[in-house]
Amino acid sequence: MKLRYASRPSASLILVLFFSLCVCAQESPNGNAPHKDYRPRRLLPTQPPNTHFQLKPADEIGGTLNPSELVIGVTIGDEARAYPLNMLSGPLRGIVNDTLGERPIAATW
Amino acid sequence: MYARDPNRRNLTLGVSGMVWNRNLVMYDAETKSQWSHLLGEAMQGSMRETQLEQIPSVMTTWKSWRSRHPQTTVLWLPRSSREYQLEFYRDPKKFVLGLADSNPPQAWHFEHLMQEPIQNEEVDEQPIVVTFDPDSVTARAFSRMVRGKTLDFERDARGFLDRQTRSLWDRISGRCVDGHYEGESLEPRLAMVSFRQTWITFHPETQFPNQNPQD
Repeated sequence: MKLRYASRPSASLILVLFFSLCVCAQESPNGNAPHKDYRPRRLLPTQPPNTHFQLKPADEIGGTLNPSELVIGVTIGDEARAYPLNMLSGPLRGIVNDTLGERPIAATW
Repeated sequence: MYARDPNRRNLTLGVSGMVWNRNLVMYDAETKSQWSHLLGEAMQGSMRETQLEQIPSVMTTWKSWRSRHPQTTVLWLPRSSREYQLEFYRDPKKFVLGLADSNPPQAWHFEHLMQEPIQNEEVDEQPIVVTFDPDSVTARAFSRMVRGKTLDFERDARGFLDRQTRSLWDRISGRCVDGHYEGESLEPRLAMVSFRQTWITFHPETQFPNQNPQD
């Protein structure tokens, strides 16, 4: 199965695809046979992995995050990191590839 | 929250644009295997049946997190939403805390946790405590075992106490802030906040310990 790295689609196109009830043909499996109940449906073009983002220390946040904004908090070893849900949500953000406490992690919700 | 180094091989995960059972399918750039986000398992490709390790995490407010982790860093991207503030929980009945790794699945309604914020349980023969902080609407699950001993907890206005030593623990971090166990932290259990309806759809066999039957 060849993955196509689409150029960034417009927001309205994404919304149409995301909410569409009509589905494109299923991906035909290649390589190892899939899990027997596994029948994925395509809603959007494949997104390139998210590997670029900023990391800010708490001191730099100030009022740019509301105290009541929801975050996912993770600690690994001595390191603590907050992932604001408002920055992780939506089909374009779904997964962020990060490293924390020298462990590679996928921040996802 | 997953570690992305199964079998010590670092993977770079992306959104495949596909869904399975209305749940996100991920892919890894290295092998192009497809992964169920819900199960954390590769469903297709050379990594099929490989399981990603889940990392404990907490869903809470920035204020609560920052006060407990003053040295925290913060992921920063332009916001894609404004929805996820405390008002997201304006109808707490809609939410449950589900244990990700129990068999059968166990969950606690937020509505119940608001009444009984500290729950001592045994799940799969392991003693756990479920905690709820109403100010930040934070729900967590921790092991009750500390240094080989099983503790029993009760509520306190400042957090929660173990009956054995009357030490004071923090509901959000699971850390002991005062008393015999000061500095000790309870081991978190893998638990997720979910819409009640979504959780029940994916885990219809869920048990709700000590709670009135719903649905």
